[in-house]
Amino acid sequence: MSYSWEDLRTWVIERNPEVAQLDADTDIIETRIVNSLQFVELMLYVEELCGRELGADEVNLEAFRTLRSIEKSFLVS
Amino acid sequence: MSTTQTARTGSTGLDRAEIDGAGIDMAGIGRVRADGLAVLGPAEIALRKEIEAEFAEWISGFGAVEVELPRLISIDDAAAIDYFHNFPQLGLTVSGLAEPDAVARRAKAGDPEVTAADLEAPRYVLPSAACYGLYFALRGIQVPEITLYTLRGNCFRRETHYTGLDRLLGFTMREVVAVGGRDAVEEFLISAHQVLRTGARRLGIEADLRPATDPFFEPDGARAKMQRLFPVKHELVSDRGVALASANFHRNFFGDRCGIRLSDGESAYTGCLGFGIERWISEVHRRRTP
Repeated sequence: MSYSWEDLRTWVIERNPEVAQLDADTDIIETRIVNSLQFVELMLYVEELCGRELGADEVNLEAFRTLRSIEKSFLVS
Repeated sequence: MSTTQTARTGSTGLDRAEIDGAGIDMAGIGRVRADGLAVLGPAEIALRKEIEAEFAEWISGFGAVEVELPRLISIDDAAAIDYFHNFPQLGLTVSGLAEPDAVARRAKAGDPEVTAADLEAPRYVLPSAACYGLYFALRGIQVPEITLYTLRGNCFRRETHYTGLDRLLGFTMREVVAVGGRDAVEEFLISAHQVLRTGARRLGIEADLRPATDPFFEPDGARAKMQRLFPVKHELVSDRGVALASANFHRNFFGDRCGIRLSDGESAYTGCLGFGIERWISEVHRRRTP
């Protein structure tokens, strides 16, 4: 099964119901839509979706900047 | 009694010199036990007074109000902030005896042992950090944009090993806690970082302020790296690797769990600056002893 940025969006909105505007290219770091405590949890969710543990070298700000960049970096085979 | 020891300590009579694990010379009455409990003698107390006076000066710029919090945390309050989710290994619970008369009878009959079977279910846990009680004290209250509190608390941590004054079972924390809106709390934390840097220098200490990662995560793993990218905790670490102080951003976790609200109805944010007093005694002493 393959996952997309929309699955990530659902995850984020569930935990941040007050968020009004979140699309594939929203900067989730700058806007603080995903907060510092949640980023580790988001990473764990990404690992669940792509079925493997991420390496430290794959974890950087740009890969997690938008939902689209996460999808491109980890969810598309 | 050896002349050297009397001359050095001017102590009241104990002639053994106790060197704790971190190298501080606790000659005289001062010593740190293997179980992590310390006796501070006159020399250590004098150093502590000097250090606390320094802290007071650094903190004076914040305009924080001084409070004192309850000495114990109830089990229910601890559960409300997920204490047993996150730190079950640190907690030391407090229980009374279920049947004190029976224990007394046994003791008088020559069996003085008290075991777990004699205890009632625990009602309290010893605080492992000094600020928890503040959030319970503010429960259900609406708070302004920013309030700063300062407090001093006795803390207790059950650890696998203890190391002199650097890792004690019972220790003391001085804290400054910010409660209010997100931007105001983050601003306080930025000031707190500066206080730590300049303060350490004033006491002649070389220490590094750096983001900290959860010790449960492998230091080189992806989780630790993610935490370093989005730090919520910064530690002032000495060149011996001891965390002397930390600045922590709690986001609105405690505000949410304790119903502390801002004027717009949102949960309040909190953050704290904490100093482990005995670690500063150890570090300052080390710096001054040739």
